[in-house]
Amino acid sequence: MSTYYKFRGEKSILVPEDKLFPQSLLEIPKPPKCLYIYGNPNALEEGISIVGARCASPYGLSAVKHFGSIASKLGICIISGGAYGCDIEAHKTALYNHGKTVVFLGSGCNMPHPVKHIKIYQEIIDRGGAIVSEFPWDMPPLKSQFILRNRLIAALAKVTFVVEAGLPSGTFSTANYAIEYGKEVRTIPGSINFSGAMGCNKLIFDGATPIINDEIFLYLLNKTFGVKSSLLNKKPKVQYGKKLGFSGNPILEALMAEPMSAEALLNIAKQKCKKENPYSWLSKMLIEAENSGKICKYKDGRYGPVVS
Amino acid sequence: MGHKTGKFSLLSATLRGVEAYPVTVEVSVSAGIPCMSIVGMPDTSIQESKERIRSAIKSCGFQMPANRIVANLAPGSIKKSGSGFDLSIAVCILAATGQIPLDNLNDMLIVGELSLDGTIRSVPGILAFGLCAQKNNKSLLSPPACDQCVEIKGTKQLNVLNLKDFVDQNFKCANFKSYQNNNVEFFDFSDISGHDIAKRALTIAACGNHGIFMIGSPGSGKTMLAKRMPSILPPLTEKEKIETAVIHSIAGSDVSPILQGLRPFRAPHHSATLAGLIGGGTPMRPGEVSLAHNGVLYLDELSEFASHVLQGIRQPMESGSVDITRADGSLKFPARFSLIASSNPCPCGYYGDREHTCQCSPSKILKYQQKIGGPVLDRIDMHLNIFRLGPSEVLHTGSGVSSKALRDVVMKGKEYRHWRENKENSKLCNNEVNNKLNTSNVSKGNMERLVESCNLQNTDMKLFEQIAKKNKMSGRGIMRVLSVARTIADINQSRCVSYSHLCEAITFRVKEKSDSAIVI
Repeated sequence: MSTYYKFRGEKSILVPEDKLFPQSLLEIPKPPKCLYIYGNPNALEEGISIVGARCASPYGLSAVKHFGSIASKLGICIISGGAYGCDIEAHKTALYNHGKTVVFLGSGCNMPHPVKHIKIYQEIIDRGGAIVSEFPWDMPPLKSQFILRNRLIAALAKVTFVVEAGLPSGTFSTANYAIEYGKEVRTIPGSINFSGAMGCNKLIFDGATPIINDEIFLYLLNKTFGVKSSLLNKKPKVQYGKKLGFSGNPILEALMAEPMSAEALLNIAKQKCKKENPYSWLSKMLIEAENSGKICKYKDGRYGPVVS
Repeated sequence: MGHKTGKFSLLSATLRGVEAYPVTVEVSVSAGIPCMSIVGMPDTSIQESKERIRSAIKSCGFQMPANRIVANLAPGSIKKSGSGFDLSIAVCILAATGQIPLDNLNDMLIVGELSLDGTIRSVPGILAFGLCAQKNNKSLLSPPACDQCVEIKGTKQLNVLNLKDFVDQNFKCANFKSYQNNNVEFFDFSDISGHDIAKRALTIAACGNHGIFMIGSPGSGKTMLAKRMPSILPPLTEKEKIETAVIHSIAGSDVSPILQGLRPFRAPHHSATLAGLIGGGTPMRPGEVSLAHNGVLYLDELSEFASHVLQGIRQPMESGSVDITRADGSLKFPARFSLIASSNPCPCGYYGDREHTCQCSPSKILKYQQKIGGPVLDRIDMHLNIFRLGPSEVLHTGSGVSSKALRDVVMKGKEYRHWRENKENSKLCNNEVNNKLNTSNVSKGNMERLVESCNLQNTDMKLFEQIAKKNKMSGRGIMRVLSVARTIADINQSRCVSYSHLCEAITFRVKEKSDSAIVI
């Protein structure tokens, strides 16, 4: 379902001969014949693409927010597809940090998809970003077009960051294109019990380097884009030997590993509550864990970790 | 031989709503062209009784007077319905023409339907008729109704099987089964192993009369848990038994489980119409909400109920009764029930299920979750996610905590609440003793009273404010959490609501539209 919508802003069409047509898009086997753009045509920079599952868990979304903020603040353009879940979260993070962002649509620009994101797209245009499509203005969103659009995301960006993907996943096509075009692919690992993380874990198995903390991410950005951050040390360190202190909350510790339902947590509560009523003890620990910002309630009713 | 004339009148009754309304049946047999007419706004089934009466009287060897017979059902301005007038009209005809002795007839309220051979058939609502007889100081004469036999103090209930029995008038007293309380334990929580948090939540809901909403995939156990809710509610008091049994007797259902103290459990299908749910139709019958009076109403697959039907449940949830207005007046049906609602998490049902993959797209899931509930969700205080049990847990059935144990917790909590409310009410100047703290009445007065009765310590109050801010809770959301926390404190026999009670209440809070998936 799509509606016809005309964005307010500069309208332009780029062909390969134009100066502003991104070079990286010409270097792929089947380059786009034409780019239809709403917004600033200069916005198409070779930035970082952040992609992931549409049915993202709070862990995935928080990871997008966290790493997306770091990239945005360093002036790196965030490229994605505007889809539900990780994509739109990436664009929102860029807007929130007054950074740059570009949306590649799987439909013509006058039939934006999904319809719910039209307001955000308009704001991206207003703030100097761009909504781009290789399909003619009035082309409706057809399924086959989304995979084609993914190749452009992978092509424009210097590095593709897959935040959360299950198996099978549409996000994989973007990662596969990136590899095909010789671009870097990065991902973050998830719990091996969580089906939503299986795609990312498989990418790591297939050789993608995992991003496991801020420093490694900053090192990647420095290497790829030449940006320097005051937070960056000379070499990225995974801190050995420093044991992270026990937080005093066994529920928090359990949930940092993987999402669990309250019923499953009750078993832990019954062991650790000593003389106190296990239900009271469990709820206090849960509230405390939520307050710490490291845990939240997922959409499916389980509690689980969040990147903070 | 057929020139006898005469007059006679008797007391009978018609069902209106959940009561039997007394009706005087007058019959006049006079000279004229042989015909029978019934006046007094009878409905179609009463009009048809002419044939049944004529045939029954003849079959029993009596004489059907070949005269003008007029039967009047007074008062004339109220519509009469039901086939229970057959017997009283027939007896009046026989009495008027001197074919049966008259002595005891006026001491009785007579109801019954006639078969063509003179056998007397039962009609629904015998209990209601019995109560009507009690009010009018008569005994009740009716055909035997085994599944609706309730002893009513001070009122003789007599049974008659055949029209011929009116010659001797040796009516037998009705047999009453003696019902012992708590003899019936149809569904028990001990059948379910696991789901401990769900059991705890239902206990809290039962104690404080909070509406509860369960989300879970098909087969996760929602209906199984809901069915056992009546087993942890306190048994029906004598007054409640009669109240509830009358409604069920009018609907024609078996009242014996009610008489044994078991609260009714109603689970209407989501295709139910508004009339089916709240009552109505001609003649007016009680709906599912009334049949759930003093019991549990379970709305399974809440998202499938039509929204206008859900709107209709609002009034009974707020006031405890349903007012149905028709052209000939309005009737009140009682409908005070505990509400349980359940739903799937998404259209295919399997979002969040570890064994099945969800086939729904994110926009479908969003749409589905936003559509759930509407007017009914406003009255829900607690929200619960139900997850499927693993095979090892399922095989350990029978080892869970028993309903009796949970019911004891519920009763203790209710007793404490009673004691506490009495103490608080004696401090108030106005007489609001009957005002149950209903979260649907979000008026200023109620909010103040609720906060007062919680007696929060300052530190706890501050902590709660922080959490409420962080979770962007609305005023109504805060009311609900405090209300549930107050119930948890009652269960713990504590005058003050403490931090741990608040925490537990917060874990059950209902999702509001402002909830996002990320803690900012």
